[in-house]
Amino acid sequence: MTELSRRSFIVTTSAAAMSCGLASYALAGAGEEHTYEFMVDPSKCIGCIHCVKACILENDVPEHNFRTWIERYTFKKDQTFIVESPNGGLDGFGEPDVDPKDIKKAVFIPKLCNQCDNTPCLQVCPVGATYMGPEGLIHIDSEHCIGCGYCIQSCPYGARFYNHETGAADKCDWCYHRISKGMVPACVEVCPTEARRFSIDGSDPLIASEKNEGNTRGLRQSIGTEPKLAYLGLEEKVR
Amino acid sequence: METILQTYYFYPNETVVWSLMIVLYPFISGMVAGTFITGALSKAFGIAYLEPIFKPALVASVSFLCFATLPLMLHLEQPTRAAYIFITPHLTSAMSGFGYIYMGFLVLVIVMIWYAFRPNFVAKASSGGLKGVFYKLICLGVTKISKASYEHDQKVIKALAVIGIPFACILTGYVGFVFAAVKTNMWWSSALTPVVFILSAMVCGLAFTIILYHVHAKLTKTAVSSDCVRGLVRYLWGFLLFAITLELLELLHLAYYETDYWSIIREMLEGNLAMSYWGAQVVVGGVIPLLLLSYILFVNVSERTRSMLAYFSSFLLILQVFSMRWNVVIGGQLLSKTYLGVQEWNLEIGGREGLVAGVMVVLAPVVLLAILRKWLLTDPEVRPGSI
Repeated sequence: MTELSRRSFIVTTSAAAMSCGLASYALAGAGEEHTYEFMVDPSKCIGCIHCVKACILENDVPEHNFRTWIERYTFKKDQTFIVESPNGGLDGFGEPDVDPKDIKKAVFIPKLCNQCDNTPCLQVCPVGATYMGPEGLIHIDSEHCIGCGYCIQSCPYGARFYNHETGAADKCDWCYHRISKGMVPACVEVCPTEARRFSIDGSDPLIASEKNEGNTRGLRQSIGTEPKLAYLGLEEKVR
Repeated sequence: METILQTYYFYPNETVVWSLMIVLYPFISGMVAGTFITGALSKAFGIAYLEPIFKPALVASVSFLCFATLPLMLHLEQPTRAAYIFITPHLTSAMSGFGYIYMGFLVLVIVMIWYAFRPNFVAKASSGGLKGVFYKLICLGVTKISKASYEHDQKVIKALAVIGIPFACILTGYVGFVFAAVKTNMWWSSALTPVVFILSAMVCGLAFTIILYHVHAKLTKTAVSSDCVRGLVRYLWGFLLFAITLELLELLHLAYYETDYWSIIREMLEGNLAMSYWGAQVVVGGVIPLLLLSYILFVNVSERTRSMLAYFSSFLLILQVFSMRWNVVIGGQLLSKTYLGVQEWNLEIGGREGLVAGVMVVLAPVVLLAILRKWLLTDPEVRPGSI
């Protein structure tokens, strides 16, 4: 048996350690990354609230908080409008408190986290508990969140809330635990009218084509948050 | 202008997330900075007539400093994770630097206190028993003070005062920046916010120092220096004038632009916030003390009247600064992010962030100050020759 010199021992073990390190780094980075797209078509939403209920069940959302909710915009002929979302829509909408003759149109607007590219919630988190995943989605590490509420203040869409059960900030993550397994988010799954559509790696070509034709836009684009969530034919007054 | 308040709407998740504790956080931080700067003025710029309040103001500053993070800790949903802000700071956040600034300032103030009171500690180190051991430890074993070392101490104190004044401005201005950095809240997001925070910190620091000086003089049966009071009143008048002017200019700016946001701000100032803004912040806490201070400064009054009016105005000014913090913090959250409404909100009495806890948080530094005053401020002034 050949004797190993101290020099060659050090060289061999160092090389082996480096190889292991590089291999594990390569494997870690080799996780599949997907492209996720979410599109909401308000003209198809009937305000049935199945999506809100499904979200609450799927994500254990505490009472009176919402990862997704439905708003009803009633546009009047005099250019004004009324917005309602009784308990996120769960309490039902009823008839609008407007003389029917004055109504121009009414539309339901599903709301959820916009997964902004230039996201203020991520910027303000003082400990990095809010972070952007490799697919560009914004996540919260509830084990690391200190619960300061800065992200809740900074989200212009009201998508975040304190989850007093986890003691951390909470919000919609497009059901990451589902979409990372190839399923669609719970709200999309139960939507009976396809008002919510979701695409994994281009699985729903309609989303791409509507985007390419310029028919979609993000919510409150003027504030510069660059939301990924796309709305089809959205009224400018919707906020 | 489009009529947008035809409807009243908030996002269903909207609520007042930052309540009384986050009102107290800038209030106490402002008190820390204001009292420190007030005390440091005499050393940094050699203002002799402010010398009597150097030590009281410094002790007040450290008393508030010890409790400056308490409201934050009470507010956090996960206070046990508070250290993450040091361990894993996310540097793009305006909040992440506060811990470092706070710790840096704490070290500076403690070192300054040590230098300021070293002659007293040295004098007590010669006493026997445990007391002597305790003071020997505090003196780090040095139990003599020569004229040269005393002069050296004074130089260090001056250097610390010169460094500490901008540091204190950063501390309180930074707290203002935490609010100003919330881009989508027009009530907060203004470059003037940190400046207003610094000016109002000076107002409450000067006001508190005037009260402390009078109380301390009463308790120790010593005379109040009229030059010192006059000097403090002069500074107070100036800082108050700037603070009120900037606060109102900011409002005027919002009103003049008549954006969507102004509609709900106007509604808030005429409704939910009318009492605390127009009543407490502007009239009772702002205009009345400004008139009283002007009277003291520009009309020939007796020393007793000057002291009494300065003392009374100081209480009103502390109310002004507290109201200003309240109106900024709570007001900014009453305004809906939809720009379509103003929320109703009532302060709870009990609970971690309720009124009772708030009163205790405010009283805690005052109690500490009472203890420190008794310990540090009641000894006669010690000079090198007397040790």
